[in-house]
Amino acid sequence: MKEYVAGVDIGNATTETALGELLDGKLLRCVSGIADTTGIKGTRDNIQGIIRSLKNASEKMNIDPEQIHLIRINEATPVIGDFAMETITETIITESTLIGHNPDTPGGIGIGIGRTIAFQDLLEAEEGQKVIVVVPDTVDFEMAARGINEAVQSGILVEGAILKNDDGVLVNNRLEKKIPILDEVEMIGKVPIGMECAVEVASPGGCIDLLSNPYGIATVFGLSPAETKQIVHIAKALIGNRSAVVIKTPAGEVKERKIPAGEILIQGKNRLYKAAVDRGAQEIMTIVSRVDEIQDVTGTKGTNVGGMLEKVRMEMANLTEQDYKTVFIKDIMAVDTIVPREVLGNLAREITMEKAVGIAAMVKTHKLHMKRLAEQLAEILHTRIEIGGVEGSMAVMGALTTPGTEKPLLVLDIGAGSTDACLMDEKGKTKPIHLAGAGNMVTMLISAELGLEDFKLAEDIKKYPLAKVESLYHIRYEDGSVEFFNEPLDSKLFARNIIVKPEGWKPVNSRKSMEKIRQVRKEAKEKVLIQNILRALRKVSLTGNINEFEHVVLVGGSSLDFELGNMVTDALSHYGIVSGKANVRSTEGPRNAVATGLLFAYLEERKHG
Amino acid sequence: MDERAAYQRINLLIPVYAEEEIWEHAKQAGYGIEEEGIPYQLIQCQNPFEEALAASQRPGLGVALGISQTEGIGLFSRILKESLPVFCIKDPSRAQARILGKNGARIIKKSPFVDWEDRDA
Repeated sequence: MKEYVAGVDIGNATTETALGELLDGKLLRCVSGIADTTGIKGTRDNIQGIIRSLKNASEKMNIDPEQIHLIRINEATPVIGDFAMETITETIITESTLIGHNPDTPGGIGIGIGRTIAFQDLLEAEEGQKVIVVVPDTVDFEMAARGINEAVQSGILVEGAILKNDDGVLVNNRLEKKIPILDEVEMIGKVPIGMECAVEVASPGGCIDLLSNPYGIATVFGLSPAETKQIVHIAKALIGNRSAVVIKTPAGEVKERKIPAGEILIQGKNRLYKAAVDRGAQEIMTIVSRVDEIQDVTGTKGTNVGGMLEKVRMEMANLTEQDYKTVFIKDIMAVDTIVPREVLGNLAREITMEKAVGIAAMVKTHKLHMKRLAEQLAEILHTRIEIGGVEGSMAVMGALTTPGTEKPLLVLDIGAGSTDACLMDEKGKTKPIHLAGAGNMVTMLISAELGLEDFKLAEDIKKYPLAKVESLYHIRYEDGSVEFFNEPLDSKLFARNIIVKPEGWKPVNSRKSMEKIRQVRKEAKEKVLIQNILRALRKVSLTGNINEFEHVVLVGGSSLDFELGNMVTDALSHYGIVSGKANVRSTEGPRNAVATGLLFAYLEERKHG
Repeated sequence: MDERAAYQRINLLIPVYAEEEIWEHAKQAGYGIEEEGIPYQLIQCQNPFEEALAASQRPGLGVALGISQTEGIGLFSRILKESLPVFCIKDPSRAQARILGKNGARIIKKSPFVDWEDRDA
């Protein structure tokens, strides 16, 4: 008699099914099903996703899901990851002012130094006085130019101008004496009047030189060595700009404040380890690597990291209906990063690059909950549900259906929330491990480093290659290749960077170049995924030596990433390891490994009675 | 200046063709081009769209604007194979005229266009 058995793998992002048609315990054929995971992995909310995935597979087999005799679910000890960004420096301006922004089209060229004066008071300035005129948006460019020309004629030395409107070039073209003009200053009302000020505009394609140099600013304002030390952060925030204004006010100051970032407390088997977040990711990870088996991780109360770790714990406790006190963080991963942040006290949305540490945490919850999930599913489908083998072991079983593989085999599963590795030796004994930090953390880094507010956009940047729309008829891909089109492209995409998604293009609304976006994407994958893979290999290894592995197979949705496979192959080739994507059942590629493993494990069990 | 140099100089600019009745809009379009740092020329004529289309196909920068009371404002460019404007606004505000001038210059500079849809005078 024919029977139908399904292996179901609930992942962080997708729920996959391997449905087998069996005759007397022998597999006749096998199909796959896939659906998005509903809710957080390992919780009751998963049931809808499981049913959809089973339906998807059943349709391919031409049966009803109710005809399935047995469903085996992975023993997904829910491994759930979360992440947070801890900014450890913050630039604050109190009263004193810098405007270091890059309008598209500033006017004039050069450096102007003088006292700020409101446009309506310009003609009241004294003859021979050096001034920088501040022009509000109620004054149009013709009026502004006329006013400045009149002032110059009456002997006032107008050295530069700050405009709210995007009129820098228009004003400059109408001036008898050319001056540097900075335009598009949003909060013009905040520019202090009667203060010493320097305006600098570089030639097109160039960068400012004087105001991005601390000694340059010191020269302009005659600063003492102690004062020069204070303005280093102004100079830092202005590096790379085409235009800038610095205004000195007597009471003002600019400082880089170190935010109390707190400590991470890691409870090992025998002792407590402490890692200061503001010392950077490398130090945190060195300490983490010293801990033999992490029992729990907490953070200093009242700090961001403390709050973030407790939030993860609380969420997991709620989702899995466990007692808060019994939820333990079993691993963390820290990554150094630099993020653009708006300067506090800014005038034109100036940004400065602040140091930050990205932290991912991972929680393991009880298996008990899977039992409840299985019971509920059995009630809905009127089918026998079994909780199958450990996820890692099942992934190896599935990966072993890849042509050319044999035991011993190490399988790597890079998910959204965690990186899992499992080693199966010649005798079939497995050693699974779970590590914090995976796809979602890469997305967070991309989002933070590019200053994107849209998390979905960062997710797309991570997943798909980039291109630039160079004309209304052609695009250039990030690898340099060009594609032409017969029909004109959407004008909204003209001269923009786009993400080449299979279902259509998506513009990247950022002024960053394609090369920069690509660099950030690759570095984020390198910092999180490659480093985590190496960490996983060291942990799985008996000797702590990566070189002992010969074959490493990648499974899971993340290995479908368009560049990760090559990055992993490249990184592991340095250790003499052969690595590549799995091809489960010769047809599924890296997907469906755990589901297939669950089905094949059942077949093995049947064979051996 | 020889004839060839004069020809090149004339064509290395964005011509803005406009009817006399809507001259203020032409000036605004010109300011938009000027702010982007590209030379331009305002030319009064009877059939601005036709003139602008023809001018955009001639050697030079390959961009021209036509502004008429009935047809509105049209930005023509050689980058489009069809004889249609890249952008056309039926009843433009002065701010929109300036933005279309900017966008004309941005075709040459290969910079992203400024969105004009939400702007009014």
